[in-house]
Amino acid sequence: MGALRILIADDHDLMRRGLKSLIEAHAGWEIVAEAHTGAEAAAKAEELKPDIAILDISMPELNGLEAARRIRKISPRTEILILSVHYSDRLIRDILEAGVRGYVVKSDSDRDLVIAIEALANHKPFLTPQATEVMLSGLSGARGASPADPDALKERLTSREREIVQLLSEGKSSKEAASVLGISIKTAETHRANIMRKLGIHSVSELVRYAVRNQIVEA
Amino acid sequence: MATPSTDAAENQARKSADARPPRILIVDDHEALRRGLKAAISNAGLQVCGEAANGKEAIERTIELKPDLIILDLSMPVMGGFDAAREILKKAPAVKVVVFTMHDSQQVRDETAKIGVHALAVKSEPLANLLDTIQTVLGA
Repeated sequence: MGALRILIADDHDLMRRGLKSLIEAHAGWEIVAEAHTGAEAAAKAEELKPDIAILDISMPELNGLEAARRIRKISPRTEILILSVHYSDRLIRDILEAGVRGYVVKSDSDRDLVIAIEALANHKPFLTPQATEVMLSGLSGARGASPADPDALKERLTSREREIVQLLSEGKSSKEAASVLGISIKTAETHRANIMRKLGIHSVSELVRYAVRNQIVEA
Repeated sequence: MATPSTDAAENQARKSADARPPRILIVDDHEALRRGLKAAISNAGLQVCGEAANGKEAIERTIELKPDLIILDLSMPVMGGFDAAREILKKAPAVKVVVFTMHDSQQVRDETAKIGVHALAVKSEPLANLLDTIQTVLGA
């Protein structure tokens, strides 16, 4: 049986270094690529088709969740493990809907991370121990907005619109966002207008607050 | 009364102490990040003498291990970095404290300055910045 081929993506050098050290300490596990943005992770996943992609949720230009959605389409056999700083019920729902089966919080132990990788290598899911209660409370039941989750009541953003929310929240102009995404400025501005309308917001500062609340960008 | 052999022994001890690599305590609740920091710091010729996963452990390890410098995260469970820094600087005033955080705001900088922390480094910046900061603080 060949080595377990793993891609790691995190914009923090030290996190990648720590993950690399942990993974390479295991016989039969191999880092095939590193990435420091979601876009780079998706590109490398398409090229290398790793067995597992470990993605930080908060990365510039394209966050981990959006990268996961892309990777699921371009390399469906790649299992994905999302890492985040903070636990979030909302994030659990989003990642499961995206087809991601692994989720670990960064403050979880190395042991949980290893167990997660082993589970995904066998195509079994692993969620942080903190997620247990969410699962038990019927996550697989009716999905929909809860009164405590007003953002979910808003018309859902498309994948492209979420990418633009991230870029604008990072301080990029419509022109810069268009350049990053390879679309026209007019198209970027149309997306921007649709985003503002769907979310019922009127300023970039409101957009940033929305992005932070929904973990599209890191606070 | 000092003798030539005592003086020589003391000089040797002083040289050995000066020659030994500085001892660093790493404090962060993310184990993978502590692992990465440990590797980076060791590669830079410094010695990691211990680790802690929250502010309370940081205080205990400082008293126990007497590090030269502490790399201290801010957002941690049980006790956060600001509270830990205050206690550490009271109990071990000779130790140097470098806050290492993802939160780069004026508010954080003001608070760390008020507490008397020696430097602040931001996690999103290149690793070389942290290593330079550590060397600068140790050399000061």
